[in-house]
Amino acid sequence: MLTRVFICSAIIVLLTGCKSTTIIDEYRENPSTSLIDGESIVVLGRRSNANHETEVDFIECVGNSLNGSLRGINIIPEQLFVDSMYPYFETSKAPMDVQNLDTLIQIPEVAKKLDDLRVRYFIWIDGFTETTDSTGALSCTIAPTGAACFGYASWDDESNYEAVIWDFKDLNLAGKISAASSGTSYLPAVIIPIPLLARVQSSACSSMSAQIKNFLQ
Amino acid sequence: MVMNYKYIISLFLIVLMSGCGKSLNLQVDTAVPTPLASQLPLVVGVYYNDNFKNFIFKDSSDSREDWTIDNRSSRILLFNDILPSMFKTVNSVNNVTSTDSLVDGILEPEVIEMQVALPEETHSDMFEAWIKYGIKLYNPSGKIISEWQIIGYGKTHTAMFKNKEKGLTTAINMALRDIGAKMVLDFPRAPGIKTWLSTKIDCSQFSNIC
Repeated sequence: MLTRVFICSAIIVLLTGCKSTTIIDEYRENPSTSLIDGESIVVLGRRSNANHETEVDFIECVGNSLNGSLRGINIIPEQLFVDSMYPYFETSKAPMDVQNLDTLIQIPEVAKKLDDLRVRYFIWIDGFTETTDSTGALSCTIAPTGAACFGYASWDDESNYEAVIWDFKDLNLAGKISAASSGTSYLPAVIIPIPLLARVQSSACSSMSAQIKNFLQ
Repeated sequence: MVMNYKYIISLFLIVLMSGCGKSLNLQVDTAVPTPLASQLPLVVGVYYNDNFKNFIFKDSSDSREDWTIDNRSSRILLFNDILPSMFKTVNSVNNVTSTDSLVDGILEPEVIEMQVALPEETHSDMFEAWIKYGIKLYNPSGKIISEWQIIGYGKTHTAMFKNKEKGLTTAINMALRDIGAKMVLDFPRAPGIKTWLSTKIDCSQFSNIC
């Protein structure tokens, strides 16, 4: 009887504990956006906030996801773009508004480089994932006879990201997309810990990428 | 067999505990990308004084026993990389005067201050670094034309298994990149530079600079 209760509880936790909930919102400034084969998109993270910085792996995730879904469009990796445009896109010097791009392209070397890269859209992503709550306790011991963990822990993660899309051809704001994701992860441990992780950041990445793809096509 | 097992466990625990020590000895080697800058048709000397060549960050406070951060090579490499992108000719010189009639000016960078912070020290989840440089520009006879300061700031997020050495190295690299960026982009706005440039180059060809 106890074994059945344990197995049912484990199945329920497995099915419900790892789920993330994502909410997507879109604001469109331009009624239509388009991409031509051979044009480029660059996905960049905003890191000027003193309290947080947009994670590098989140930007990579969005870039890789778009790379896989937008055929014929070149997705320029963030670090490659920032290095090739050094120093104009360093954290302290990056343009904060699409109007600043107009000032930037007055510099002949910058205009030529952007032209060579065939950049059409800039996608600036600002946000972060954080653990908002945690509970439980876990303890592990190591002894000559072996190692073991006992206990239970759970934590809530929340992701909040906003993507601002600049149209470089028309030098205006194309639109904004926001993604908010949350989920609870569990870590029961009976001898060995069994992580049941809610992939909150990953969920936000795939939702945002899908929305960006729909926005641009 | 049992004795060997206990010996290994004890050794493991000693290594684990020594890894949590307060000392730090860091060698930082940074390389910045070649800047995309409008190269000015000027001949500039650069003088690396003893302070600039030899400055090493040291801290021996209670919470930072025996901290040493050496980024001397990165500092010189930074200026050797960015100055040729700013000026047509850059020569290394031994003092702030020059008898070469072709030299337009001599730059002298100097380290004023450097600070680093661990996440546990600032109660945040960031490794941080601040570096303050003083820059002087002299005319060939050694008279100061301009003097200004540049502060570079770098930060990086903590991540699982990122130790303090790796976190601080990344933050210092970011701070040096920031210094390079400000040197290239803020140079024309430094006090006295615009006036000096207007006497040396045709500003109509470099409207984005002067």
